[in-house]
Amino acid sequence: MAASTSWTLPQTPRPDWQLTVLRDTVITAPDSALGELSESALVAACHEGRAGAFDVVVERHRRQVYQLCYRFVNNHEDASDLSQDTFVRAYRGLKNFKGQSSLGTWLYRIGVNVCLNRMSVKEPFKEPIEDRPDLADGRESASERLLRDERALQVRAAIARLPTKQRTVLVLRMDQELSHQEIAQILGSSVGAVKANVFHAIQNLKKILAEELG
Amino acid sequence: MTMRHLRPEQLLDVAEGAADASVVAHVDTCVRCRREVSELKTTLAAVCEVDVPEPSPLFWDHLSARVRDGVGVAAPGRGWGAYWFGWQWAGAVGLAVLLMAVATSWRADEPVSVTPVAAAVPVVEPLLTDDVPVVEDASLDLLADLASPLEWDAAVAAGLLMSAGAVDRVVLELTAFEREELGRLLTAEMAEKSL
Repeated sequence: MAASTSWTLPQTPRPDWQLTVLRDTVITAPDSALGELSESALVAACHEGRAGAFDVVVERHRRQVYQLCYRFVNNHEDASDLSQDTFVRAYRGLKNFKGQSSLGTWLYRIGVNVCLNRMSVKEPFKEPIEDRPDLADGRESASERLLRDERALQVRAAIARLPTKQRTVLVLRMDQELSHQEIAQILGSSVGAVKANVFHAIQNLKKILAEELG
Repeated sequence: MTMRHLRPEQLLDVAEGAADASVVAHVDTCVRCRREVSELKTTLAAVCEVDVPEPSPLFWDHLSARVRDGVGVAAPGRGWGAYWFGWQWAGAVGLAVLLMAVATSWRADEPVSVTPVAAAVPVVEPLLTDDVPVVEDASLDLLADLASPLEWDAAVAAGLLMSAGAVDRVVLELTAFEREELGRLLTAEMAEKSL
């Protein structure tokens, strides 16, 4: 008998008092303090339908989401559209977010799916070098800047030629600096598979760059 | 003796500085693995050098506004209070319709005069060659009586168009208190009509 009790305990749902405390925090905090809420309290505020709560979520994560999208499509307009799409989907699905991962990881997962869906229907846009914004920081000469831009363009073009899975793990690992564990969580894969994909992505990238540089 | 080289994930760990001491020790003694690690590091550095161009500072607020618009289109999450209010409103309308229907059905039992109905209903050429005189049909009289105080547009605006069984569903949704109150109103209405 005792054995069966010990089996059922892990299945016991969270005690109600945790939810009550969280709700109290959300309800009593003034709207102006939304920006100071912890992630879990902010998510709870969104669940409660508090005005402005989701705005704070967007404000906290918009740069990372935009950069992720940009890495996939290599142009501002599409990255902007995909970022918006990511957040709108996140808003619609927020009721299903249970906090099993961080909000950022969850948003990345949505962003990756949005980008992969887009890539499956549209060739990534190759950004013309003359349209690129000025990245000079004042310490670089014009020729140095040109070389750097040229090099960056070649690397971007090479990344765009990678198979989708390799490209995705490389973007998440190198650009977003996520751990292998986080990437595995986002992609629903194992850490070993993620590492193998990163390795092969780098190997392929090396070959493509070697071909392009002649 | 066969030399075992590092597996891809071990090479990656070394290149990223996350390998165990034993693995690092192997790289120190193995020329091939050392070269592999060196090439990995070079390519990784090339990838890390590629920045995402920073958009205009105004872009971030613009993006937030776009998300806000998108979310607005997606019908923001209404609290349960809003749903409850909606059901309460629907219940009130349903109750009103029910009362109106009951009241008018009692009025249908009263003697009806033909003359006002003839004035209210426009005279049209009968499409059916039926022997039953249309103007003397009590059910038509009732319909005209029902329709006369209520304009169609007003009925639409009030949301009084109902699907079949809507009244039954509304009654089932009523609380015990609301049912009791409905019973009281109906009893009062019936008593008044029977006088």
